[in-house]
Amino acid sequence: MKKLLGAVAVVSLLATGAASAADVPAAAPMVTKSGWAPVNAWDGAYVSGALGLIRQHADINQNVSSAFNQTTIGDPLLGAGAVTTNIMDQHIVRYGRRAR
Amino acid sequence: MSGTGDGRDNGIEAVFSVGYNFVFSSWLIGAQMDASWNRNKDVVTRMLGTNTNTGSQVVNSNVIVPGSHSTLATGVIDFSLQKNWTVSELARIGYFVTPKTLVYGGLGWSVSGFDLINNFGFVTSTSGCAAGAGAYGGAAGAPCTCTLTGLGWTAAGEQDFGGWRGFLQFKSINYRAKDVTILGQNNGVSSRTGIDTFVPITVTTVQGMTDVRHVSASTLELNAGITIPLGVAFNRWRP
Repeated sequence: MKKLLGAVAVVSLLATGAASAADVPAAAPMVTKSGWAPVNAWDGAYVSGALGLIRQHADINQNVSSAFNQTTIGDPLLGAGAVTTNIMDQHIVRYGRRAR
Repeated sequence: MSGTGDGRDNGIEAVFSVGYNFVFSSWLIGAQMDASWNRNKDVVTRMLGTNTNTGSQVVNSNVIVPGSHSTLATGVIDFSLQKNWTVSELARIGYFVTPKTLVYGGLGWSVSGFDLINNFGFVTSTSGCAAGAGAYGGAAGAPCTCTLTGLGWTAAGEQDFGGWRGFLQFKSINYRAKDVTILGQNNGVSSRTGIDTFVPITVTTVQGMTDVRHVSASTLELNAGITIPLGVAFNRWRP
């Protein structure tokens, strides 16, 4: 008896499913022309635009090295043939801490 | 050989983004590209500090008595760093607190374009990088344009309002330091030969200047905006 009832139930379910598939139209698209889909719209591509406040911090540390080497042969004040070599080295370190 | 200085600057910027989301139950993962620009050039951090200048000079001569001397001086440093634009690539992961409310975080890489401006403009160089804007009588010149890259992260909340979404996003970018090196325009060897006051003269000059600027920056942003899902938009526009 139980087997018979079970078989009837299965047949009934199958019939119900077949009827549903035949009678109910295909599932409506998640997003319709006339309305928005509230949840599944999260899935997929998107574009966005925003305005924002920005705070910028910055650091700078500058190091300048400069070499100057000049040789003069025949300085007018010293006379022809006089040789003078002037060597200058300059080193500048600049440091600016992060601005907050 | 060092000094300190400080300042601050805030501004407003516009951010545009495109991205793609995958939703798994209560979770969302996605990729997003942000592009922003400092439209009004108002995010300019001015860096004030001090500098130390040391110099030495040696004179060798076969006529006069050789001599040498050294100098030590301190001064003021005055640079400005202006952010012009940023592009970020972010991976993000979110959780739906409710079917319409998402909280998410993102991690990614950013690159930004900056103008570095020497407000003193005390050095003459091959490019505009070392020439200041002449604020204190220095030679006018174009700022030094450079890019910095860095790690960025976001934390945000987003709410669906039925077809469009609103979000509030906090974003931080920590740029890696970069050396901007400028060589002097008169570097090299030059020679002059002629007659000066009836004396034959030859002057040979060797000159070299290297200006290295170690620049780093970080930004904090708080953005509010709207998101339009493209699938929804295309479907709505479909005839």
